[in-house]
Amino acid sequence: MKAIILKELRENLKLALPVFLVLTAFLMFAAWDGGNVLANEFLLRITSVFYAVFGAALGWLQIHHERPRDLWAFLVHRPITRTGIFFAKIIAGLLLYAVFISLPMVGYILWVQFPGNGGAPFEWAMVVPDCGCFVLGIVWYFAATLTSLSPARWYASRGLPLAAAFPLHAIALAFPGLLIYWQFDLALLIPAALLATAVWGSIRTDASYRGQPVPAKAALATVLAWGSTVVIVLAIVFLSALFHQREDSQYYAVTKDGEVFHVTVRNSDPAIITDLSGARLKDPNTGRDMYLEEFNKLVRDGQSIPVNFADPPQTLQNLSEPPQQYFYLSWRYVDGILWYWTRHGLLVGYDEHTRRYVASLGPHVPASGFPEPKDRFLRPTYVGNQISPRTLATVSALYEIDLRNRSTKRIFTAAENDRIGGTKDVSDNATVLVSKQSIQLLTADGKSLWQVPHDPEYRQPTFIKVFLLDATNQYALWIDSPRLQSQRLEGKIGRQMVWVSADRGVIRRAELPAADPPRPADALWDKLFSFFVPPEFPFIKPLLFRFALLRVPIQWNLVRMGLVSAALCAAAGWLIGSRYHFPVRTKLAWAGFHLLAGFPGLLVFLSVYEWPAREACPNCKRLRTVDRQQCEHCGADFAPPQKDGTEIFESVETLRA
Amino acid sequence: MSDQLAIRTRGLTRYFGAKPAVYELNLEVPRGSVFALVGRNGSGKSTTIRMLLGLLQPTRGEATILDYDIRDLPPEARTRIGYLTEEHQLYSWMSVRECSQFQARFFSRWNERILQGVIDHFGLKPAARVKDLSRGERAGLALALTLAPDPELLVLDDPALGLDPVARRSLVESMIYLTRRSDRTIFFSTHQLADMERVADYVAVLDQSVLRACCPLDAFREKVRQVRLSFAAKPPPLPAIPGLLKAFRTERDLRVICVHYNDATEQALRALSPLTLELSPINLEDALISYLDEPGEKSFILAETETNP
Repeated sequence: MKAIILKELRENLKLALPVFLVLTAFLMFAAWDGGNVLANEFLLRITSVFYAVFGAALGWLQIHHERPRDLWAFLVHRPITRTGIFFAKIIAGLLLYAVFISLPMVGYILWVQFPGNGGAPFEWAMVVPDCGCFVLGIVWYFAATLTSLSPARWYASRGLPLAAAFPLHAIALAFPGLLIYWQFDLALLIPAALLATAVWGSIRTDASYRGQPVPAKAALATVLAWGSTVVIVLAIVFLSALFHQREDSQYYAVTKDGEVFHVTVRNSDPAIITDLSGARLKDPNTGRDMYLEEFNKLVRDGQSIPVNFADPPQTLQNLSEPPQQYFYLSWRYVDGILWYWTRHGLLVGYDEHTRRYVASLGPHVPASGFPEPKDRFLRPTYVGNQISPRTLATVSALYEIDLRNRSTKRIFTAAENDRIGGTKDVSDNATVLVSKQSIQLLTADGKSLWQVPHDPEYRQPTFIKVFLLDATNQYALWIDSPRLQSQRLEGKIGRQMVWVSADRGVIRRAELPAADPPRPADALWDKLFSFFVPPEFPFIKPLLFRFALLRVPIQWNLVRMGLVSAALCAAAGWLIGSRYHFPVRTKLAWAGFHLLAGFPGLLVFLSVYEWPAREACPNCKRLRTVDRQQCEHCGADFAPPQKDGTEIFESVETLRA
Repeated sequence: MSDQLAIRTRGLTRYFGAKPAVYELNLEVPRGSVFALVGRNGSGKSTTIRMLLGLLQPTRGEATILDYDIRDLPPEARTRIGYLTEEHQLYSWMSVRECSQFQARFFSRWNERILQGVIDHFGLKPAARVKDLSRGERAGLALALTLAPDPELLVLDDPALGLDPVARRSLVESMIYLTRRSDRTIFFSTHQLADMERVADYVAVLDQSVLRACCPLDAFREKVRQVRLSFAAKPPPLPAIPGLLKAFRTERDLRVICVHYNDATEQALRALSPLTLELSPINLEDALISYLDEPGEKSFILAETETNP
């Protein structure tokens, strides 16, 4: 085994060395350009793709080098078990992968954590997302190894292991916030182990399904079913995009004078703009329906305030946010110092030039360690800041921050039984503060200009947009919740608009119905989807939507569709198994698999076997499979080759006699 | 009985799709023999060898090699079996020395003397890279690596394939002088009938996936006969003759090659009323080619239109 490990190391070094050099160069550039970019979304995207490509190339080449039939025979015809060959190959592959990926990254991490290098907060937990990307590379490594081993059969089943790895990477890139959880990173080892088991089985039998140990068969079938599902999903999404072009997009817009309009954009047709009563908006100059370009000049952009009352306060609003924002946010730049909000509720300053730590700032910063949870600054609103932020809040108070004097001043204190969930400086001297009991606008000295009662239980987590209207001291509030998406599906109310004035308080309220109701065509594609993917899909769909904080109910009509499809596939599998005279136990195992995996399971069933030919039995004339010793119908042996009188046979016994 | 056999197959069959590559092969290879498997391209020689070495699963049938079931060959079986692949493929980036060191790590019974003998015979430099070797040199290195573990059974898949006559001769000489040992079995497939004749004790002929002959080489020579018949005029049509392999017709002659020549065959030929009937010797190559060629009659008489324009 040692000889094969050494051979593999040497053989694949020529791939690993350039990877090492490129990654080192990239990290050196990142260090020079940005200092500490650990957990940065851009870095994670680049490194995750880099690890994946390296892992996949390594896995593919380790098998591909020996792809010529005779070279493979040269390798396997030596006194070592196939399991030994498997371990030798993956030990060498993973060693190369780990060493040549880790060395530059470890060097970079060590560099960053020394004072004067990173120029931004550092903690060891920032390494965790990169560890997740590292594990993703291992998943790709095994997927490519399996692909390289697999025989090319119909419908390109060879690529299915790679297709199986794709969604894991896509999930990690779409929801990079997941990577900060070591549990998620560790869970990625499960598909890696599954793929490794399938690789082991394939090396044992030269990629033939027959003859593999049961765990390897199960792993291979699972991987291929998952890969088939991915391909089917992508195909349906592609077809739906091709044939089912959504006719329109619909949304609400608020004008500078606070009116709400419903906008429908339908392909290249002029947009339909209506007020809440359904009347078309007319252009006052022409008297005709207003064009979207003209209307957009009247629209006022709102300022978003994400609100959350989680205890302890959430540091990441949702999993689609970059992991770096879990650890810290860039808050302000004053007098050559970059101030960061950190997840420990502090402002931390770093000198722009020396990249060294300068100071910490908080309401009550202890001499050492981190402030108590109640004294921690809440995560500031990051997205869409139109002005320099001026204030930060804890769960109980709002503070004005004076970075030049490095001091804080409490300007508002919440009631004893109240709790602050989000704030935003909407102008140089006004801050919107959202607490459990109210939404209010505070002046620079903490005086409340207006106050609206707030019922967070009704719509938590709340998402509020504030529109500063043209009329003096008038505002419109858009109170929304991602969870309303689910209520929309159930036909319930949508979002709420509240118009307030500093003089008169609440002027009026309105409930806005769903802007974009579901259409029958969507349901058709949903059914199609359910028929061709595993029957678990309708149960998994709500879980997937949870990542985006959307609550989607289980759709039982889709469950029924999935079950019908799975039952049909199980029946088809049973019939095909009977046609080829599979033992009942094998047929039962496949039927169970088809019930779990549905249509993709049937594709796997058809692709893994090398289906034997069938020819007529000379005895009973019925078709029989050629891989059995006797005819399954009449028990007759296969006919010996026809003789023509030219045969010369002398048995060994005859010779010896 | 089985301990006297190095290889034994029973109904060994392999299909690729609906086409059988090897059909119902029953073969017995005595220990200590040099056994040649001959046949045309696609007749199933390599498939047979790959099945015997557990590199390809048979569709049905069974076989043993050194008494091990081919469906599950343990590592110790591979220690005892040397295998030279058809293309002599080795790791191209390795040098001759590295190849030898790599191979030696797997075998406890590594015979450096044999290795050096073959390497010297082919004039290989230890530092030369495999990718820089000629085809003949690579074949020599592959043979050296196969022989050095001192295997009981040597399986060679068309070892002279693609080699020029000199390299081929070198390889055959190596096989003769270095591999021959009373207790060693050599099982090899080949296209080179002349080489085979110099080395083999036994021959098996595969024709279109089916075994048509399996016997000692001398028996094969004995069973295949050539008869020359001369006629006063154009030879008459040939009747059904048992064991007929081939017939060649010229203006006044008929040459017939057949197996199991006996009195009945002679009577059938004499019924044609030839002027002379003469049994003439046939070399092994001609005999095998007759065996492997399409059966039937070939004429060397030019067509009427060509002879009388």
